[in-house]
Amino acid sequence: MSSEEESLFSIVALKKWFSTRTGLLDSILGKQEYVRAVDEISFEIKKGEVVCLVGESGSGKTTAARLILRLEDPTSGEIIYKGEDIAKAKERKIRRLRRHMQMIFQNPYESLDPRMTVYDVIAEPLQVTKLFPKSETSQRVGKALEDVGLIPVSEFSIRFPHELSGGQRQRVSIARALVLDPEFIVADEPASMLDANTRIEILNLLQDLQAEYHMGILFITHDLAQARYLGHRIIILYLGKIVEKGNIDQVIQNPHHPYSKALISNIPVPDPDAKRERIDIEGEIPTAINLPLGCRFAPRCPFKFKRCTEEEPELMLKEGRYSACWLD
Amino acid sequence: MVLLEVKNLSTHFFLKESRVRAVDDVCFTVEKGKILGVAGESGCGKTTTALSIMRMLPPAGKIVKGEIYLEGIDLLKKNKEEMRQTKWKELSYIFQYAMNAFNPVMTVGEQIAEVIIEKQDTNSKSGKKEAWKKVKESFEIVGLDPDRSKNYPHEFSGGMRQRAIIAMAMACDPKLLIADEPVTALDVIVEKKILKLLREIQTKYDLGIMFITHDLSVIAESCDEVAIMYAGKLVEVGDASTIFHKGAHPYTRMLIRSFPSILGECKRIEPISGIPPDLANPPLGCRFHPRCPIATKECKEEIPPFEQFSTSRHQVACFHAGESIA
Ligand SMILES: Nc1ncnc2c1ncn2[C@@H]1O[C@H](COP(=O)(O)OP(=O)(O)OP(=O)(O)O)[C@@H](O)[C@H]1O
Ligand SMILES: Nc1ncnc2c1ncn2[C@@H]1O[C@H](COP(=O)(O)OP(=O)(O)OP(=O)(O)O)[C@@H](O)[C@H]1O
Ligand SMILES: [Mg+2]
Ligand SMILES: [Mg+2]
Repeated sequence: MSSEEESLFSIVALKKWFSTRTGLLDSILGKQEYVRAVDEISFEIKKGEVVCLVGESGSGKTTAARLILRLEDPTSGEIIYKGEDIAKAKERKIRRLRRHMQMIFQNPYESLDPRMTVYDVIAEPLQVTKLFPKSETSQRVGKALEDVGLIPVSEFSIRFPHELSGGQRQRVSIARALVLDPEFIVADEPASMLDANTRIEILNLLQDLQAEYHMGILFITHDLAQARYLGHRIIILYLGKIVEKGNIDQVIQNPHHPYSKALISNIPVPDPDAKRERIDIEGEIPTAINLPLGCRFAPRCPFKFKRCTEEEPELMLKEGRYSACWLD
Repeated sequence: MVLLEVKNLSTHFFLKESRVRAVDDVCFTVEKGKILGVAGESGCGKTTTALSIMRMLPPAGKIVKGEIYLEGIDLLKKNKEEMRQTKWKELSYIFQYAMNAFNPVMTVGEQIAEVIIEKQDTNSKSGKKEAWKKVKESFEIVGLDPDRSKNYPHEFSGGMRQRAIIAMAMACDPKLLIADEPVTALDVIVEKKILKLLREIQTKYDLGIMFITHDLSVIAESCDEVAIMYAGKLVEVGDASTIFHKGAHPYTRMLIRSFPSILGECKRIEPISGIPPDLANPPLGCRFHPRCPIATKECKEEIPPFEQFSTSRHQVACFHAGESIA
């Protein structure tokens, strides 16, 4: 990946706070609490690049992706898409832009309408957007099915989702995302619910399509092994903040942030005799409501010292990658 | 010492039009104080094996053959009442998706106490008190604050709910714990903690554990022995190190290869081609032969016997065990 590659997205200080439901008394007292799901994150996605967004459940991965696709309105921040800020763009404009951006979801069992045939599922985005002439519909659907390996096309076209395996359903979701020739795809844990063999099939498929069509992919996962397999760069989120970002191999081989270290050292590997140093961290990820002063990870951090509980560290560049830790 | 011995177990589902051979002639043992990991692709019969041992199969499922010995006594020969006693006192089962099965309107402690009361078969006042005492004790065992037993399930994180499930499983001092995908929906850090917890409990109470998962990395991290299933058959059993480094069945080796790792070189992985067979019409001979790169005529015609291979604890069902698969 050359560094001169064209930027697709530039995300600047993007923020999403959800207000939590409060009781009557709190409302009268004017008390309001927020879940700081995404809290001022900045990063770049280049054309033809796979960026992995990694973090524990509740760290804000899905919210960040939904913001970028403008399925959710940001609280503040910029989403610069090919040089233009779309963070506040109107619905009509967004709808037009969204043709170039698609999302693949985690659960292949819930994301497809059970009453539609495979053909209809894939043709639907073409019919809704009217991006291409009607006469091209069947040819485009056929091409998408071929691209994802659902061959023979004529046989798979007429099937219903319940007549497909989990892996095949996920292929249908990918075909549906591909049919509009997107420049950018968000894949939210697309392979995590599948068993090992099907998972590799889907990851390989994404890799091949990405190389062939030079798409940008935001790949969301909590599994670093999958991230490494597919990605070029990695962003590690903790409670809505980026704790580390950089080249994926560098980060996995030599993580700087204690949270990245803990995450990586706890990934199971398929070798019972591998000797690895483990970093234990206390407790589980809390909800991003009452955040501590200072570093959000400090309450669980085995290396914390005084400053960590007083001042929040910013992302700093060191050895070619960014991490937000006072130890660095 | 052998705690559980499963001998030639076959469990089939009898449907209107067909018979699904979900478990076919399966043999394995679980040692006291050891963890046996059972792995294989979705639909290969892992849960059906567990349900057969617990004698909790759905109506269509029937054990058509085999013996299941717990400390030398055949569970299949027990009558309903005897089995009920065993099930509550000696066996414990954490079923797949259990952590999502909590009733949202009852506290976690109440739900666990209910199970304990049911197991003890007394609804007396002292029984209830005893049950609550056990709830608190078992919360301690799994590292939960006993006071949290008064919380509702939604006040628990995923990891805490899974701990509570394990607490419930431990509440009656079982000899054998069967855990079906106990960490599958959890984050790596929580997963690691649960695996550590299972290991601690197993050592402390000299428990035998049968650990079911489709994730071989998790097995590598936590099990003493590994059983690999394919399409209702056991294809290989051995200690973890042997299976991962000297696995002899082509399926075992191909399955291990299909896990991306954060260690070593990041190479492209080629999946096993094809899909597992329809268990209503399994292929003749070795069930893996249609997907096997080294299958020969023999493999298509005859069922390979499950035989000892390198060491006494290493067994494989393959005519070409140990041969290179390139
Ligand atoms: N619509 C909403 N209203 C209120 N809170 C929300 C909403 N959507 C998400 N959140 C909260 O924001 C935080 C981040 O959630 P998000 O779904 O982005 O996490 P995630 O990293 O995708 O987690 P997972 O791995 O479980 O999918 C969580 O605390 C979540 O409860
Ligand atoms: N109630 C049932 N009726 C008919 N067939 C069934 C029933 N339950 C399971 N089966 C079939 O038996 C086979 C084994 O299923 P089982 O649930 O034991 O697999 P598993 O290895 O636990 O899979 P997973 O990893 O998806 O949990 C499958 O082919 C399945 O379709
Ligand atoms: Mg999510
Ligand atoms: Mg199962």
